[in-house]
Amino acid sequence: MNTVLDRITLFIDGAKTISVKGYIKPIEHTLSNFHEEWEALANLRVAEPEKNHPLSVFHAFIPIESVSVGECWEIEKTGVTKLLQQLHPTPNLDMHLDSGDSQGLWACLRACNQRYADIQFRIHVDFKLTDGWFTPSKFIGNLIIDRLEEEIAFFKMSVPEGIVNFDVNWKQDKDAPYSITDAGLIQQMELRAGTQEDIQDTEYVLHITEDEATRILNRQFYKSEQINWIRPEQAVELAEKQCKLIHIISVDGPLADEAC
Amino acid sequence: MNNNFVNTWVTNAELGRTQRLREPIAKRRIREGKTFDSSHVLAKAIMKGWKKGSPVDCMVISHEFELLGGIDYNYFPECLGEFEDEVDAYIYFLKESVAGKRPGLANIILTPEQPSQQVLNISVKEIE
Repeated sequence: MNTVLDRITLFIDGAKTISVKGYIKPIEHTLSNFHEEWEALANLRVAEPEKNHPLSVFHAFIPIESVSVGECWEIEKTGVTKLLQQLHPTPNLDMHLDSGDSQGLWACLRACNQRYADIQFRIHVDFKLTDGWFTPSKFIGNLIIDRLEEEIAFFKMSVPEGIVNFDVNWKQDKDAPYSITDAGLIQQMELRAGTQEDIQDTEYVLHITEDEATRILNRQFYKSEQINWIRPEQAVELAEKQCKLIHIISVDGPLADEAC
Repeated sequence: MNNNFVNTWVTNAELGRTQRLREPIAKRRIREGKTFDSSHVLAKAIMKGWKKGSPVDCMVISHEFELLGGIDYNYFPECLGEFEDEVDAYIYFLKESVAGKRPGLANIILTPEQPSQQVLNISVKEIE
């Protein structure tokens, strides 16, 4: 694929609107039981289950210049904040704790043809709760643009499932100078619009796989993503085959997100 | 890192270290057909290298499952000595592991032939 010749410019008609549905499932699992002890976490629910947004909100996801498949660009914060406020009123894209690589909103053109363009993205955000912070591992998703109609064919932005996919800091004692921490699993925290079935059989002329796009996006956040991490069950066979030692990290939360 | 090691990571919960997440992990295993659990031979080597109460353990293990180095990241880099730069300290940890100097590990080596050693008056045994 020639990434220079195949550059495309994307448009959305900002005057149109779209209905977006929001979901937050009650939290059932935390390591230290904060989901039962901390009222704000126990009652974490979606602010607006359904909302009409002007498509201009989604301009945040559109690159200013033409792009080619596999290319990344930064997402603009204002539009994303408006979308995230549908889930909870106080999103914070500046991240209250930043170990140097915590902040970021990145998009990548995953695929395109004459009709559709598939933008894959990754966003880091935390939410201010009463007496503390809720930090999802990450939001990932896809925005599929109908290039002919200049509208959105499908949109999904969610916290992916995992063993641990959020982290919390709770100032249980308001007078104490410190917060206490916990982590856990939220089964669903998601915004969605459009119907995936309508575009799932789309054949893209130019594309990379979702895994490739994920790796490209991950590298925008963490230096450690330059390392070729593989699944532990694959490590033994590969180490024997390549006569290498195994370097392993055993960790409470996932290695390359904000839930740890 | 890519030239010298096979690199992998695992959540402690997947190896049963955090009991509260057993239920969602069990469901996920069924749903996704995951095969890596505490019975896996590499998992056993990892669990042997865990430091008590550590949220993050970094280890180097041979493909014959011998633990060559292991540190509790809460005590990094001071557990390895004095370092001004954490990257230098981690490279030191990896190099010492490759050289067989067992950084971060006690000088007790248990083998099938010698499954226990007497250290002062404390008996250390390998538990199967």
